[in-house]
Amino acid sequence: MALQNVEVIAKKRQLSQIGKKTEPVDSTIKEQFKFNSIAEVLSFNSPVFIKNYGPGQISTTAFRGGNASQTAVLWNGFNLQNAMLGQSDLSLMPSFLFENIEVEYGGSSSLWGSGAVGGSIHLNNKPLFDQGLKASTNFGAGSFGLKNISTNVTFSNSKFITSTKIYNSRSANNFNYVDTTDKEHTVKQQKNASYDFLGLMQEIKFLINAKNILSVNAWINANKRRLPSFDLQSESKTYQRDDAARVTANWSFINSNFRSGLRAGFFEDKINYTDSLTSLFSKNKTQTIIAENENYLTWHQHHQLNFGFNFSSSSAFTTNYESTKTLSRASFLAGNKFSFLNGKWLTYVSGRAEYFSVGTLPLTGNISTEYNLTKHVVLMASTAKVYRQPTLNELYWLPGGDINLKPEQGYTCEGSVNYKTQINAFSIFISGAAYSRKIDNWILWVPGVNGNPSPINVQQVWSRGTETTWKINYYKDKFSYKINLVTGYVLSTVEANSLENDNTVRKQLIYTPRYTVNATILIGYNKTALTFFNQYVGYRFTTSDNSQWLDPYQVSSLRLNYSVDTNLAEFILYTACNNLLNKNYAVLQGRPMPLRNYEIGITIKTKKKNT
Amino acid sequence: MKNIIVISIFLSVTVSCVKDKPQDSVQPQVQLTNAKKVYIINEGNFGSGNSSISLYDTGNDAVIENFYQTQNTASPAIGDVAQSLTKINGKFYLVVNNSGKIIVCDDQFKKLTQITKLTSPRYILPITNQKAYVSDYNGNEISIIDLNSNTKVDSIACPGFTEEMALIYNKAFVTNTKRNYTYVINTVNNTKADSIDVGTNAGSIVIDKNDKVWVLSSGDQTNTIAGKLSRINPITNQIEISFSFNVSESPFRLCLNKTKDTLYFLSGGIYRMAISDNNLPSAAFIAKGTKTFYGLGINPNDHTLYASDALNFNQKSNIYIYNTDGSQKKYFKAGLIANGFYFE
Repeated sequence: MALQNVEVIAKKRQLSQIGKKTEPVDSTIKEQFKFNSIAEVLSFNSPVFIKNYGPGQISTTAFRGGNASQTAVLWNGFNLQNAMLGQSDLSLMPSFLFENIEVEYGGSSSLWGSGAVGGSIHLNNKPLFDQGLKASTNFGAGSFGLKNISTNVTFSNSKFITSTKIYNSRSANNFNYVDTTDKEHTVKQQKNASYDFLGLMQEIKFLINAKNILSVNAWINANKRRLPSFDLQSESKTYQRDDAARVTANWSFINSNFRSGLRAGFFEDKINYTDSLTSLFSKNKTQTIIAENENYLTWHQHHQLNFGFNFSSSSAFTTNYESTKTLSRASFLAGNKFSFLNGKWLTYVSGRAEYFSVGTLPLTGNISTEYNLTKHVVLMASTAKVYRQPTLNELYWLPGGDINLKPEQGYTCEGSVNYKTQINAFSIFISGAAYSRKIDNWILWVPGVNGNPSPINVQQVWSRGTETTWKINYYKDKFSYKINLVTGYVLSTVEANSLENDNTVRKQLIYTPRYTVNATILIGYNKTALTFFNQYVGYRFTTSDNSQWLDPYQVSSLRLNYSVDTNLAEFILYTACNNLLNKNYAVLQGRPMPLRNYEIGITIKTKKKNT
Repeated sequence: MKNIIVISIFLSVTVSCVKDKPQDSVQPQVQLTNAKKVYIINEGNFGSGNSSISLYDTGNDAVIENFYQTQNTASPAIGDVAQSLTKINGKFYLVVNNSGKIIVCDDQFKKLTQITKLTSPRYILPITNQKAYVSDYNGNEISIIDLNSNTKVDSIACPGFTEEMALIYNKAFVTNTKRNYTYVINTVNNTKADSIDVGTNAGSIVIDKNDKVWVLSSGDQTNTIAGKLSRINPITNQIEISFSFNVSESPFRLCLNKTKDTLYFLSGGIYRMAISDNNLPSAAFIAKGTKTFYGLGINPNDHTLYASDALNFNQKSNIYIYNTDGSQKKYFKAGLIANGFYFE
């Protein structure tokens, strides 16, 4: 039994994934993105639409028609959403930090709490016992002054693991782009867009005895970046610093029929924003404490009860509020997993009740089930009540914040089918899902008097759509081929809006593409892999009455990993050509993306100890 | 067989139902009459470059959207955030705030030239036939424009975010949303002559039939500072009378009717008061309802009141025309975030 799987948080993930489409990012694909952030991994490999303001700039999610604050980003089960903003910036999360990245489709508020509405992104560390000393260093460089360096040193024996990861990524980011609206100066250079991201992650894990595991994780990072003007603005002198310190401790107790976990975390996020042109200097700090207890009792050969408590408290220190403000939440969760027909049919039922220091939060719950119809086919269905609590900014921002704001809440249901088979050297996996979700009291910032925006519970939104995944893998001798196709179709429309003569009803939400298609072709020989990624994103509306939009874009990337084994070490050479077809595109209006550009890199890994 | 069924189920999930390509809105062919026109300035979303000008024909209620684009097909982009429109010497001056420029057009809205080297211009005020002042958000200065060459020739240091301006007796009164003062500039020698404490966040200014200057300050809800309406004697630069609002209110967009005896402003709803009133109006002349009034203007030709509702600031604005008794006369759609009107 792999010891890392006995940890209690892994149990929770397993439960939340019953009856729902969940996809891990393939490890060979992930290897091709070791110099990139989670934002790039997801945008090329999942139907999650990443709202990206440019390389190194803010990247947030639109998942199943929801917005950034309706996606939970969970680091080993802890929600990383900034408590003031209610969202996470994925560009500040290098993919190399996480051994495992999983995309959980669909909401799961009863397990993951506020914000898990459209779906959840799991970033997991899975260090292994008994691996000896391992070290690897990645050096990368690329167009526009891109420089990457990251190192991972891990030591583990049968009782103890330590893993240290350090990274720095920086770029002048002064790429050229084409401004089609300016006929006199068509080719322009991006200005004031440099960035410098630095971070350290440390994990320590003890196997105290056969029944107890203790782990401590820390992730500290300091990120500097200049924020460019959008293409029509005359100039920008804005600068932003995002610093974060995250420390978690995790104790798991494992018995034959009972497991229990105690977890606690402290999270500090600082965002300091400076604009010398407008003399705007904004300092914001949030501190969040989370304490959690979870218990799993196998009370019958086939049935397992789980229950737990969660307490979380977030405080914001900012000049934009009247004073320091704190939101606290205490939750009780209980559920039961039923297993019938020798494990062919699983059902999970759960409920969550919460106390919230400002207003009330709904009771949430879910019922999900999956059935192995044949050896090849699994049928899944799930329904859940989901919610998102108002963020600190929505409640307290001055002027505009509204203490009487209600949580966004609604119901989601989905059904999916997985088909899996092995034909000689081919393995085939096909998955299709359809879902529907209605959210009431959807919060929108609507500018009021003097243009000062104020959040209001203004509308009802109905999101529905389908996703498919097609994977064909071929392995024979040293050859491997992979073809992946991931499609997403989302209709996310306003169903009701209280404004007079409003023209948003039945209209698609802004920046929610109806169609996304990702295709990947990998050709591998031994440890060398050539991968072609292609991403298509359909029309994105930029106004809520759908009167303005951006055209679809298609962007490709070709990446090559070439591995050389020596007695001393393993060397992996890496090269990439991004935006292969040199397309002029923008994900968001007025935020140009680079034309064709290149990356090269090398990874040096110590040889694996032969035990 | 089973595989075929499974595959066909997946295919049907992959293929979906709504056509992705949006329908381009077709601009109906409109016949313009000889009646007076109203130009609506739609500032668009900050950072999105989707400003536009809508033309409204009071003769037949026809609306031409994207009128600037229609008249300038070769180079149709206005830039980011069209802030204000002023006609000087028969030419339109369209101030584009976040692109740092003023587009100069002929009376048919065909672009003639543009004035650049401005930081974030807001309003233009003609001082003489040759000279105009331009207020600025971030520039900490008033730009002086030579109207013959349409170039910036000089500037007057003026810290803070300067906004609307008014000219009387060789004095330009310049409102400022970052300072508590309205500055008085001697327009003969282009120097700052005086400053008047009008309260926090003052952005709009008018001159009434008695040659008195009225300045409206919005206050600051964050720091619980109330807005103020002040009447200034332009000869002495003294405040003659001042009215305080409740802290919860944020009045803005002060306007005057044609006879220059009635003030209008926005504060949620639309308010009006006579220049001779001794108190602020206690109730809105036109209630807010669910609207977000953002632009306000009085048509000098028929005295009707034009107000724009920016809705959620991310869709086409609603333009409401009200009769002088406050009843709604008309309603139509203009571009994104209409902030003001130019009446022929």
